[in-house]
Amino acid sequence: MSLVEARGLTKHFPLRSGFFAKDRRVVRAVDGVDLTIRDGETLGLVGESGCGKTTLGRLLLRLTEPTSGSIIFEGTDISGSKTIGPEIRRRMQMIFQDPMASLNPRKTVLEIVSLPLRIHGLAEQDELEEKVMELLEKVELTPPSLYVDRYPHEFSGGQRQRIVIARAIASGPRFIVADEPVSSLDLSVRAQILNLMRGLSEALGVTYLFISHDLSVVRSMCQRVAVMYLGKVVELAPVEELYGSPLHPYTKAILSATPVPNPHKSRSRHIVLLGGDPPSPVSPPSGCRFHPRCPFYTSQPHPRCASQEPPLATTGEGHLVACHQAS
Amino acid sequence: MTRRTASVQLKMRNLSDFWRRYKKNRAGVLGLALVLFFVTLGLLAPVIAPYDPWQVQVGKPFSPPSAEHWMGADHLGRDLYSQVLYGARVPLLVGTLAALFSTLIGIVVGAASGYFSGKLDDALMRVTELFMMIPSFFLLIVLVTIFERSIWYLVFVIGITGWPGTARLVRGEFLSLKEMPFVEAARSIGASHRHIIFREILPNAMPPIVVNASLGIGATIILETGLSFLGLGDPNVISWGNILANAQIYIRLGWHASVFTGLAIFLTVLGLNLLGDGLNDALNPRLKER
Amino acid sequence: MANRSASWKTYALRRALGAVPLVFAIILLNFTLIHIAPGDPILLLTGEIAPSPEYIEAMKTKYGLDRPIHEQLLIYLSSVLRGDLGRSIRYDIPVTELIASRAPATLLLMGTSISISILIGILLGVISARKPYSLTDNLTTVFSLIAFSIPIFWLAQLLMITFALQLGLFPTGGFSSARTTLAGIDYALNVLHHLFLPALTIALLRLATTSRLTRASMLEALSQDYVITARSKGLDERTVLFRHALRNALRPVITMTGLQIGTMIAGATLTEIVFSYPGIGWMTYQAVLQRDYPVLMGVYLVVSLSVILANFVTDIVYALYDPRVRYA
Repeated sequence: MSLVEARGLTKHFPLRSGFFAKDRRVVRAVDGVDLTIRDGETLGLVGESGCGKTTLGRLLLRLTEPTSGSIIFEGTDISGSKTIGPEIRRRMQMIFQDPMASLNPRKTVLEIVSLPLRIHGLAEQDELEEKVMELLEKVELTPPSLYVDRYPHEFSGGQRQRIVIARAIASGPRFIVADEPVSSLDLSVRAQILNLMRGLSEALGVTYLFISHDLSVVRSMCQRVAVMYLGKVVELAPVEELYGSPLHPYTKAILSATPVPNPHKSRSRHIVLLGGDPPSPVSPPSGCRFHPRCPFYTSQPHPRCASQEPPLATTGEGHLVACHQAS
Repeated sequence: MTRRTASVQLKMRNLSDFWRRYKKNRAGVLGLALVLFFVTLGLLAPVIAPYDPWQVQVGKPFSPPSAEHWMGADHLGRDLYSQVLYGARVPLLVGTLAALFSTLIGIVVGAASGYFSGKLDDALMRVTELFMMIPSFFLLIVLVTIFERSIWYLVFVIGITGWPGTARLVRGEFLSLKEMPFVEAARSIGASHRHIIFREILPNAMPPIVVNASLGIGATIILETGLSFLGLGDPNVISWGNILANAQIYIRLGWHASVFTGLAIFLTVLGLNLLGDGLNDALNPRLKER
Repeated sequence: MANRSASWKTYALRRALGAVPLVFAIILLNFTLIHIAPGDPILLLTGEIAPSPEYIEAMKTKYGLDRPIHEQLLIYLSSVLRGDLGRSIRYDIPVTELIASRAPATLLLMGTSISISILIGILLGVISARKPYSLTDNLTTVFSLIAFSIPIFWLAQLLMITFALQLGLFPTGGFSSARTTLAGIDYALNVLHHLFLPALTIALLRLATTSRLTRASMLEALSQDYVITARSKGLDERTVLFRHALRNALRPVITMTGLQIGTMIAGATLTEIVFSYPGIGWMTYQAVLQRDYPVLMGVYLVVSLSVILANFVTDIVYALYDPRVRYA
């Protein structure tokens, strides 16, 4: 059962550099993405910076308007209308990367976490404090009375992220986009937050889109993983399948570069080096966007790779890949 | 503990934190003291003034400071000290009200411009530029000469000519704060524009606005006294500017009217400027504390 | 090289065109003020308090007061552009003539004070930037704070009381000594003698802003990479300071000076009053006292246009100085 679906989703940002106001060039942040997120799952979205994963996350939440394509949430197409109604708004939320910046420094924790409750009328004035304390307990900030009247800067990074999560689950959402939720936290704290998120997913039945550039984190959290490159999804597979037998050359390359704790294994690894510079999302290469850096193409330059964009095709049990030479 | 008790406690805690930070700037504390001093003088004038400031011939005209007249007497023999006391009221009142008025206008224009951007921003910025170009001092001279010379009118015209600076400041703040993640978070929760502008962005933009406003009071006082000096002040009230205008006419015959009154203006404005500086340091603590 | 001069001329042209709507807006504002003022527009336009019926008729035709408002605007616009700003009630001469007769004195005053303040201000700013938080720097900061808080007309009075009245070192006012007839150098010296205190008043206050600004922008310039490069090339400190850092630090100073012309004229006005210095400011003061409306409106118009002109000139100078701006 799909909760969120993207069909041919595209987002282009106009380039506006100082003098040449007539520059028609665009940044193709997201360029024709088809994606299905199943109810209850945690889908990972990985890729380098600039590949469009954050933009995709914001598109799915309709925090920005798509240039073309559609977004289906719980069966309803939400891509068209100018603004989303509050009913839909409260069922989809976001967890941001920098917990300090995503909390208003001049508001108390009570005010911050109660905001969704107030906006959507989910509690009466006198119930607010009680409900907020319940939420704080859910994110393991106990005793909650110590937190409600304090300001974000009085807490550590891990605690702030818990507050962010408390706010995100306050309106009872079904879908949460978590954009690098642990990247700015200390390593020791990361595991705790990830555990919390996992627990909440089970307890509340929340579906996550887990965006990260950290492959090891994604592996521990997600059931399925999608890999993005330059605005397109290049591979999508169940997690162990992706990490065990990746098919797309880009996936292989980034997996091989992930640090491995076992020194023996690490020495015997073969790291795939990508040649060339990362291309710009303003003028992507023709055909398959990866081909100028692709080891497959370097050894076997098929003309199709340079001229035709490979479609995202199924190659096995729920495993999709976009590569002419992968099958 | 009820919510109400808790929020009162919270406010107290914030206030004492603020004072703790403010105290660190000695100049700021001095400024606060100066401002409070003159405000008190003005408020208590009816009580502490030894003479009726309007009453003529209580002393010898142009007499220098003496035991009976601490600041001497003016050209009509009126006690200068009493005049200076009463004269504090108009500049402080006009200064504060006009600054508040123009700050309000500036916030409205700047917030609309910075938050909504686009054509509204362009249009408002054009208007702001125009107002900035107009030499406000001369415009005020024209406006007051043509229309009337009352204090309320003065508050009004100074207010509507003084907003561009604040508007620019507010616009800048809104432009940058608009992009912050917590604003986006509020949007993703479904907050309305009104909520975002007034409850999310504006509270964070207040520190520079407050500093700007307090510096503005000082500038307005100088402006108001300048206009009164030109003879455009309200003739029915005692104000520092009026005293200085008379002092100018008779300056060859007595220096004390000019010196004492001007000193009072100077110390008040200095106090306000130091206060603004102190506020600036106290309201931007996060940079230091983190 | 030919390319370079062409581009600043195009820039100048663009700025000039951009200023046109501003000029028009100012004139429109003036027109609005005349017509919303209580009382007869004729009073404001011409200066006659109790005009004869024939005069009223003549003025009506001349200014088209019985015609629809937009026609009146056009008439006003054309008369302004022709230099007709009405007649002074008091002196019964055209306002333009009156302004032209007083302007040189004010220009002399402002020119002198700006020059002094810029020279000394920049020097002080450079010294302060060189040794931040030294005694000189701290004194300059305190001085700036004081200058920011002091009303210019009071400072003028203080200077007059101290140096002219008490110490008798300078005359108490006027442009030159009325009773004697002097020529050549003697005349010039006499004028300077009268000019000194008013110019000093304005210069002192301007100095504060200029030095502060120079200090700030110098500090920034000195921390830039090209300064480190210059120093590592072995250039002596003075060259580094003046040739390299100062050139770039002067930019905001130029802009600021241009922007503050309006404030400076206001300051000059108040100073002229204190010293009875016969410039535009003194004339404005007289006009206020005598309710000479045409003169007031005329001065306001002229000052506004001067500010626009000054901004325009500042922009051009800036563009000559910094080529990057020309593309804006």
